Amino acid sequence: MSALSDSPTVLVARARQSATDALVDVCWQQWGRLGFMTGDVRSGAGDAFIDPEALLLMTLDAVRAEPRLDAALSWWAVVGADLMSIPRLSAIRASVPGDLDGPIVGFAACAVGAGATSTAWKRLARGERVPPPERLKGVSDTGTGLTLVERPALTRPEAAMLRVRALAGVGAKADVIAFLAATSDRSSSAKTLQKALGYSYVPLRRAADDLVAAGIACAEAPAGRGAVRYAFQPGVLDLGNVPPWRYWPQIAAFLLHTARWGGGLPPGASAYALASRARDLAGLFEAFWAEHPLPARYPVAAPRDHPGEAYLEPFAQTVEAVARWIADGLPVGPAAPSGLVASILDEL
Amino acid sequence: MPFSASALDRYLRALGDELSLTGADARILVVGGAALVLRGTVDRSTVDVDVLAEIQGDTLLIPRPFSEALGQAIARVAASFPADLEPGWMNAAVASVWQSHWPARLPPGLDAAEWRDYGPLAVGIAGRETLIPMKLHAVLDLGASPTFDASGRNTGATVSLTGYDRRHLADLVALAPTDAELEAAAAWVQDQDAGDIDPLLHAVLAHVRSVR
Repeated sequence: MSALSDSPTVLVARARQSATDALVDVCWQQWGRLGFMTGDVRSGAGDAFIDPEALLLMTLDAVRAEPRLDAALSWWAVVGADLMSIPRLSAIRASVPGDLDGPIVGFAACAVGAGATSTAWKRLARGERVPPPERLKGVSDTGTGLTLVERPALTRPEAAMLRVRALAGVGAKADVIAFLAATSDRSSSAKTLQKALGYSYVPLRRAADDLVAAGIACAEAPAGRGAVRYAFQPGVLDLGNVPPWRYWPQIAAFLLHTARWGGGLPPGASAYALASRARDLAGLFEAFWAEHPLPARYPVAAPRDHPGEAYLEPFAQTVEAVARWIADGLPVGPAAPSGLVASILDEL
Repeated sequence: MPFSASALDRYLRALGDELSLTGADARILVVGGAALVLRGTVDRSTVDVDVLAEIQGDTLLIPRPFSEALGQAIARVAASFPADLEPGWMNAAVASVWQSHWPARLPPGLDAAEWRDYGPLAVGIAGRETLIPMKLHAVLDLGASPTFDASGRNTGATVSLTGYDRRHLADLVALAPTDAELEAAAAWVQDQDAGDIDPLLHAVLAHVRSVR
């Protein structure tokens, strides 16, 4: 079908579906990497870095379109809640649209019910406590007797952020290590760390300086008044072949915004009105795409090049390109569990 | 960038769409070149849309500034057509002479405007009864560039403008005003200007009569 023949309504539906599909797909793939239903997941050069807070937020939204993801959330509440940074979760939450407050409380209640020790989870749960499903009980003790549901696969390179948290505790220091490992081809200023990780500047700077003192990171002070830049010190911590850092909070925000594109508009809204909303949405991410451009084969259309309603089609194509880029960065394999695994999930 | 009647229609539709996105509505009274273009009186493009008034209920408001919703919608349309529209593509400069109060005599014929709806945007396009006196006023408005040079003084038959936008005069001629319309326009213009404009006024009237 020629995209040119698509009506404005079809274009909007197409883009929203692309965003939702990408969201669901990335959730399945990344939870799979972490050990949830691991059967179909393979390591490879295309493996993407996992950002646990962004993944949780994406899943809490995607579960509306793919209810079976609820099983992954239940599993993570049991095995992974104590590896999550709640301050970072809150910081990222502020940048993504949608009513996720209720789902976050729900997840927190599951985490508390499964024995999460963090008082922050208890505060988030607002006194609620949801016991884990029968199939997951006991996994937090020894993990024995479970064939499909296992402890998280923290040793995988793409799980570096969680692995370092398990080693050094949840906080800025662990996340700086993970970030520097995932950006080992370059050095980064404290401001870059702040943009990527969402913590405040001072704790990040302090954490980075501590890592330099410990020999895990190195620092370079450019001549003049340039900011100190930090880099991963090779050969000290072996985290495996950590995949390149991905700005999942920003990508999640893009997908969640796009999945809601056109929502709230009056019925029969004109092509111009839809394009105008698309222009708003694109404007939110213009600086991000400029700073982190996609490879040329995933074109991101600039609104200024497509006046008025003419931006509708290029925007829909941009969403599809981003979705393709996300999918291409993930391992080859089914997007979601199928067959026997799917039927088991349906029962959970 | 100058825009044609069809382009202008497109931008006004876009403006209506922008207003509908915010649930706002607006009624504006358009004069100047845009009104002539929309009415098909002149076959030329225009570079902006002159808004004389914003109407709320039965009240004619000097749109300086525009109401918040309209002002934002105008800016958003400009952003949607960045290669074609300046941020001030729709403006109220034409009403600037009145600052905050209307003159004792409003331009005549405002109630004869032709209204067009663009969703929640209603555009009143001033008719010739309004446009002729306003164009005459614009031709004589020498404040910024007093370089009016009347040639052929002996006959008063031709007028040339130097250092000044000739389009106002061309528009006035294109309107082909009758003697009665010119006299009514001259009377309104003389009400507006305290200075001695008679020599210029007569030269312009003579010129228009000779070439209309």
